[in-house]
Amino acid sequence: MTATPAGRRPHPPRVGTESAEFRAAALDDAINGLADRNPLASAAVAFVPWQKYTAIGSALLLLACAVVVPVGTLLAVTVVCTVGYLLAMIDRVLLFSRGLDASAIVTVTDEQALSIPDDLLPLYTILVPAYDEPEVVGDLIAAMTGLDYPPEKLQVLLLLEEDDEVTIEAAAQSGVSDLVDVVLVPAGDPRTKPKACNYGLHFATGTIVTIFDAEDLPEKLQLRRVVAAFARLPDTVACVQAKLAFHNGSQNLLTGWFTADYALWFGYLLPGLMASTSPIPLGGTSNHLRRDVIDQVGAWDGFNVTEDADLGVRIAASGYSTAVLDSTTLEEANSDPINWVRQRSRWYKGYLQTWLVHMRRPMVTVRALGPVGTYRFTLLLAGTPVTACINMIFWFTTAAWILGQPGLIAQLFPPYIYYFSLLSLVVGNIATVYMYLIASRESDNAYLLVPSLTMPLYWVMMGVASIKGCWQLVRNPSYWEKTFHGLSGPAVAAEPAEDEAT
Amino acid sequence: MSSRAPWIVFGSALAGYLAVGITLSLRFGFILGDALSRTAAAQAVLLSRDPHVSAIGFIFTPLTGLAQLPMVAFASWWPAITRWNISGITVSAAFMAGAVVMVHGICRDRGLPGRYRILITVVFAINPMIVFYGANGMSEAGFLFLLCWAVRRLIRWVDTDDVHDLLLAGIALGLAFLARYEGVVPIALAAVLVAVVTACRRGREHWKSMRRRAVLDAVLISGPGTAMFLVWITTSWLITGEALAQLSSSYGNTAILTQSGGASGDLVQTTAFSLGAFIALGPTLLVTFPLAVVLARRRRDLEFVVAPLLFGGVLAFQAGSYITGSTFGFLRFFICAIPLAAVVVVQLFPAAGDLPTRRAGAYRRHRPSYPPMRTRAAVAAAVLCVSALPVTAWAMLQPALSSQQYALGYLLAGDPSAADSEASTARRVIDSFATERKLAAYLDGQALPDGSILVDSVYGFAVLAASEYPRRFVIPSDLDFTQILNDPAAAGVRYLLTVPNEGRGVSDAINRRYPTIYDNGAQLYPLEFEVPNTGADQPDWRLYRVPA
Repeated sequence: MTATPAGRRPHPPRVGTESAEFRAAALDDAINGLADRNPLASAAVAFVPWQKYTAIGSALLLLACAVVVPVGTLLAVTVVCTVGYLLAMIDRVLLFSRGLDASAIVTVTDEQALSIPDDLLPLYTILVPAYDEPEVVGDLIAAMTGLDYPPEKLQVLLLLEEDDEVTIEAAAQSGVSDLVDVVLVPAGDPRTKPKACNYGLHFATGTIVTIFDAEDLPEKLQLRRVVAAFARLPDTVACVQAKLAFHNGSQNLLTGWFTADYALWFGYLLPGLMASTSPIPLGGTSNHLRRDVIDQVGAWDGFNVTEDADLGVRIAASGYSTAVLDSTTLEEANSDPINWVRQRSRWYKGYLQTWLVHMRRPMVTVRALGPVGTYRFTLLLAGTPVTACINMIFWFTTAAWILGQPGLIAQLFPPYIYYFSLLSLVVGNIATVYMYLIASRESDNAYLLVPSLTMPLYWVMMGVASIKGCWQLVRNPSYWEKTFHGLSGPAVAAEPAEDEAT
Repeated sequence: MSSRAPWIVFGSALAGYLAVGITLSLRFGFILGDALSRTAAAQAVLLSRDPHVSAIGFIFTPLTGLAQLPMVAFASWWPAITRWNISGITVSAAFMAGAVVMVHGICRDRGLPGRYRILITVVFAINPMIVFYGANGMSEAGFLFLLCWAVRRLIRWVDTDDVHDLLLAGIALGLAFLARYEGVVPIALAAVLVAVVTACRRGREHWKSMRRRAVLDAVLISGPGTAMFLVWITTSWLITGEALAQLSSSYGNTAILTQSGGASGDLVQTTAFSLGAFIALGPTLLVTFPLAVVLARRRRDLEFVVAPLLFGGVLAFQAGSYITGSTFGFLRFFICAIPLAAVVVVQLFPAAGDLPTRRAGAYRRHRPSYPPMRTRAAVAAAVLCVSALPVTAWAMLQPALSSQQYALGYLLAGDPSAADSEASTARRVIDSFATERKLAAYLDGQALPDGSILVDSVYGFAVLAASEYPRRFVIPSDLDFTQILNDPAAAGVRYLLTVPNEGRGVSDAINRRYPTIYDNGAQLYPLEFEVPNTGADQPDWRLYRVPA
C-alpha cells in the first residue's frame, strides 16, 4: 500500500479492515454496478425487446416460408450458410496469416524485462478467484512465489466466497497470508467469477490489474514483460493479454485437441486480430488491465458467462485496444469429454450473449468498432457458435448425400452454390487442420500431430457444445455451467468449481 | 534491391513470352496438341452444351486448364481466344514469367552481386526451351514455376527454419502436382529432405529428441500435396470410376503408348536418349555440378541439397519411366535440367548475409561468412552459363532428340521441295491443326442447332477449340453423351465426325460404339465428305450425315 491509484477512487481499505458498509456497497457494485451505470452493457437480460421480437419474427417468417415454398426456403438458407462459411474461412485464414508474422505479437526479451529497475515498476494487483478448490491453494503459492516482481509492489488477492469453508481453511493452513491477502466475498448469488473479481477490485491497489486462476502457472517474467509492453505501446492500449497453454496436452486425445486449439487461438488468431486492429475477446486469465481504463469502461459483467470476452469487446468499443504478449501461462486442460462440453457450451453461450449485448445499438457499435471491426466481431462471436451448430446439419447432409444421393439435396445445391460449398468443405477443412499443424509446430508441441490430424472429431464435440449453448441461451441465459477440474492427475479427486479459466 | 524488381522481371518476361507465343500461333499457326486439348477442356467447362467443372477432364491434372477459365469465359465473344490458344499461351507465359521471378529470387536470396543476378536470370529466361514452353500453352510452364517456387522456399527454409517457407513450399509442391502428375515425386522427396534436415537440426546425435518435430515438418511440407492428390483421385474416381485415369483410362498415357505402337527402343537407346536430353538442356551441369558438390562439402552448405534433389528427382523419374517403357521420349520431360543448371551456378557463389524472414524458426542457422567469389571465377561461371544457350538451341532443332520442337527451325523456310522429307514433315507439324480449323469454319457456316454434331474430343478437341459455336457439339464430357451416342437421330444429331479406327482413334468413343463407322458409316449413315489432313500425326476426318 504505497501509492494512491489514479482517478477519483477512494483509497481502498486494507484487506480485513473494511467496514460492513463498505462490504455491502462493494458487493452491490460488484453485482449491479455495470447494469446500474449502463443498463445496455449488461447481459442481465439476454435479449432486449427489439431483439426478442426480431428473433421471433424472423423465426416465424422462416417457418412460414418453409411451409409455403419448402425447397426455395431451404435453398436460400443453404446459400446464406455457404456465404457465411466462406467469409468465416477467408477471415480465419487472413487473421492466421497476419498472426503468423513474428511481429504480430508483442515480444519483450528477458533482458528488456529484467532491465526495468524495481523502483520504476508500478503497483500490481493479481486477482485470484477460487471457489471450493482447497487443493489448489498450495499451487497458488508456488506460482506467485515464482513470479519475478518485487513483493512490496505486488498485491495478490485470493478471492474466496465467505461460506467456502474448506478453501478458507486450506488457505489458512498453507500460510498464504504471508504472500496473499484473502478477500472473503460476501455469500450470495450469483456466485460467479466476474462478481468475485468486481468485488476484489474494490481492494486493489495496483495500477495494473490481472486475473489468474489458482492453478495457473504464469511464466516467471510475465508481469515485468507486461510493464515493458505497456511502456512501449501507445496510450490507447488498455489491456495486454498473455498466451494461455496447457501442461497436460499429452494426457489424452481431448487434451491434445484442446492444446492445439489454444495454440492456434492465442498464438496466431489473437495476434492476427491485434494486427488487424479488431476487437479481441480476452482469455479468462492472464489479461493484464490498466486500472484507470477499467474504471472508465466498467469492469466485468456479473451476468455474462464469458465476462472476459465481453470486457475485451467493451475495451475496443470504448476506443482502446488489446495487445497480445508473447509470454505463456500454463493451465490445466479439461480432460473429460462431458466436462469439456459443459465448459465449451458456456463459452458459446457467453459469446452469443456478448454479441447480443453489443448489438443492442448496432449503429453505436459500428461507429465505435468501425465496419470491419463489427464484421469481424460478428464473425467471431456470433459466427463461431452458430457455425459449430450448423456444421452438424451440413455433416449430416454430406453423409446423407454420400449414402443415398437423395434428390432433395441435389435441389438444395444448384451449380452456382454447389462449387462454393464444395470449396468450403474441402479447402476449409484442410486449411483448418493445416493451421493446427502449424500452430503445433510453432508452439513446439510436435506431439500434437495426431490430435491436429484428427481435429474433425473435436469439431463434432464443438457442435454438441454449441447446440447445448444455443439452446441454453434461449432457455436459461444466465445459468453458469459448472466445470470440474483437477482431473489431470489420477490421484486428484474431482472437485466442483464455480468457474474455470477461459 | 527495390521491391519492384520482381515485378519488373515478371512484366518483361511475360511480355516477351506472350509476344513469341502470339507470333507462333497467329502468324505461323504453330500450336501444340497437348496445349490445345487443355484449352478445349477449359472451353468445355464453360461453353459446352453441358457446362460443368468436371468437364476439365481427368487425364491431365487440371491446373493448366483451370487457370485458363477466366480468359476462356470471353471466348464466346472472341473465339480466337481458344482457336489460336491465346488463353493457353497467356497462362503459360505468366507461369514461365513466374519461374523467371523465382530464379531471380534464388539469386537474391543467395546474396549474389547484382550483375550476376541479372545475368543468370536472363540466361534462364532466354533459354530457347524456356521461351518456347513459356510461349506455347503447355503445362511445363506452370510445373516449372511451382517447382522453382518450392525450391526457392526450401533453400530458404534450410537456413531460416521459418514455417512460412515450409508451408509455401508445401503449397507450391501441391500445386505442382496439379500442374503435372510427376509432381508427386518432388513431394515425396521434399518430405524426406525436410524430415532429415529437421532431425539433424540439433546435431546428428540428438536426432531422437527431434524425431517428432521431423515427422511434423515432413507432414507440413507434404500435407498440401497429399491433400491435393487425395482430393484429385477421389474426384476422378467418383466421376469417372477411375482413380488414376492417366494410367488406367482408355484415353490415358498407358493406352496412348499401346495405341501408338508401344514404347520405342531398347535399353541402350532409351538411356542414351535420356542422357542426351539431359545434357542438351543442362550442358553446363557437367562442369558446374561436380564443382558445386565440392564447394558445398567444403562450406558445409546444406542449401545445395535442395535443387538437385527436387529437380533431379523429376529428371530421374522421367528417365526411369522412359527407360522402362511407360512414357514417351520427349525432350520437354527433361526441362527441369534448365532451372537445375541455373540454381547450381548460383550456388557456386558463397551465400552472403542472413535472409530476412517473417518468423525465424526455433532452429534458425546463421550463414557463415565467406569471402566473395573471385572475379575471374565469377566471370568464368557466367560465361559457362551463357554457353548453354547455343547447345540447347542446336539440340532443339534435331528431329531425333526433339520431335516436338525441331519444326521451329523451319518456321521461316518457304514451301519445301517434295524431296526434302524432313522439311515437309516439319511443315506438317507447323500446320498441325489447320485442317481442323477449316473443318470448324465449315461447320460454323452451317445453320446447325445446339447438340447437332457428335464427336469425341480425343482428336476432336482441335475442331472444338476452333469453333465459334462449341454448343453445337455433343462431346464425351456431356452427361447425356452415352445416351445420345446410342441413338444419335433421336437426340437430334445431324452429323457424326469420325476418325479412322486405328492408332489413338481406337479410343474414340464413336469408334468403340460403332467400330466400322469410319469405313462405311456402320452401314447406317451416308458419308457427307472426307477431309484429308495436312497436319502431322492428325487423322483424316469423315463427316457422316444422320438422316432425320
